[in-house]
Amino acid sequence: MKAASMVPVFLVGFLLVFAATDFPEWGNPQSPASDSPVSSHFIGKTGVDTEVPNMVTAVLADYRGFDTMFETVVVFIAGMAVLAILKNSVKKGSVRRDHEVDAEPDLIVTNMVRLIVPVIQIFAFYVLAHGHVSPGGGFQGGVIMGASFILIALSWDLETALARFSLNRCMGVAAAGILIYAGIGIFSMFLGGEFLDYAELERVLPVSREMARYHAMLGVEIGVGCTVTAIMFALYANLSSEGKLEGGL
Amino acid sequence: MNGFQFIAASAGSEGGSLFPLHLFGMFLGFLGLIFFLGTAVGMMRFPDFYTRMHAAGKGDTLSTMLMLTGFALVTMEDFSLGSWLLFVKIMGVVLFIFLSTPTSSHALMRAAFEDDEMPMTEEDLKKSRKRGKKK
Amino acid sequence: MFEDGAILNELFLERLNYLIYVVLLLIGLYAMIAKNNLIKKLIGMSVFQTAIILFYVSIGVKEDATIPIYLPEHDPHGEHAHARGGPEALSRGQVATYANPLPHVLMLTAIVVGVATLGLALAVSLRIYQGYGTIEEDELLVKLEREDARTRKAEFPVADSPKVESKRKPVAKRVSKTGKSKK
Repeated sequence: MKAASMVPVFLVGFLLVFAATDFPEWGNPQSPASDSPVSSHFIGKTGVDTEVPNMVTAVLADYRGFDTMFETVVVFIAGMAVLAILKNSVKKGSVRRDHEVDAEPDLIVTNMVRLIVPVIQIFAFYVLAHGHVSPGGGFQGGVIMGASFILIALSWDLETALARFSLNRCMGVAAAGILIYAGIGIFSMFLGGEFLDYAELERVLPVSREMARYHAMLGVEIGVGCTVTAIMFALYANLSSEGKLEGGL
Repeated sequence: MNGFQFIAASAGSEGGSLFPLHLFGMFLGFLGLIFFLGTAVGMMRFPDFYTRMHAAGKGDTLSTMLMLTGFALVTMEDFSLGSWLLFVKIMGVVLFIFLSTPTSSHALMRAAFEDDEMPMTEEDLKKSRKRGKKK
Repeated sequence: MFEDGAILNELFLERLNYLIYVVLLLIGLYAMIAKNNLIKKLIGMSVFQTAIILFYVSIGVKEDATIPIYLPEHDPHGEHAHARGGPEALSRGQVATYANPLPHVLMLTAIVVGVATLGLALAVSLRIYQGYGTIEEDELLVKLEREDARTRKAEFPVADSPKVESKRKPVAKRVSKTGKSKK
């Protein structure tokens, strides 16, 4: 079995190495990825179109907004599926396993987490809101925010974290994130543009067309951040407790 | 361009008064690397879980802090507002590493203790030495 | 192409990065094919994914270029541009100083979606463990086989007998029985 599986592995490896000779060299400015019209359009026109200095954010939330919206939906569906698979799969208070240690929350760890969690959450907001001018954005900020709740669950137990961010609220926030995203898209449709055509928002915002896209992108990133935060925490809460939502790690 | 050329170039490009700061930053960086080496050796050579965590926790914290401080000093090109901002940011990272890394190693140690992992005693060490000699 | 080591030169000196990704990808592929443990298969999947992410990021590398965030002097809406009067697209020379943002964008979403799918896969394997008490693939297959045989026996209690008619009768009986019990 193991020897037989080496055959396709090496076959694929040979094909890939053979194909790699046709790829551009490391950092070649003439390579298709760096010299294509798409690349030069994104680099040259992003600033004119949107007033966002960070091209990655602009391409993510504006030019490829449709793609990003459904990526967020994929994250949401994954969280829903984990919930559906694991909910009530084990009865509450059923047999304890060996690896579950009954321990009080540690004094040093909990106090340190008390000190650090607010900073992590402020940093998450910073990453989310500052994503237009520096590396960052909704996905990154959401993951950091979710990590702060996971840290609470790790250092106390799951109930403490769920008291702050219950699973129902979790799924509500996740759905609200997608609704914010799609709502901005549909709102710009009502204003006469196309779906996710943020420039039309200038009719309700007292700014120029470019600046309207800037603000709409911030709204979209907030939606993404909400969904990612909630789903990251829901994933951890369900996977660590087999859907029981109780106990420590 | 090797390291010495880089040092020479970066020192030469700045004003003469900044040279000691650069050199001190580089020195801190190298010191951090030495402590990292000590951490790695300790992780490999120490006999049981607690001593290994001792090497990992202490050495890792100190070396990361030293390297980041050195980095902050090296990036301190001129004493303008922008470089001060970068300096403060890096020192913030240093502060949080100083707080979080010992806590995490403490949590690991405690988890091991709760799991009835016993620290190695001198008798255990003698036994393992005897066994090693027999082999 | 194969003469005097040109291909080796091409591969190991100029395209070493692709070679590394191929090796990483093969490690992931091997783990996915050959390992019995479902969690190890998932680890293989993650390694595979990492290889592809690294490949995309290395595609986006451009010599003498900086990250795709406008420097203040290039920003079409920055103060410098307003001094010149109105926003204008970057010239070709300026475009060459920025890396392509597209691979970064694609991988940004791919990483998060990868985490979500990994979580889903872990949930499924957790459920499999609850149901069958194992996540080793060969043991799982044996158990599934046994269970299949059991259900077949329950549905066709005399499946071993050669006659076709005798196979059908009990089924009809069973169905009618369940129908009665429902009433």
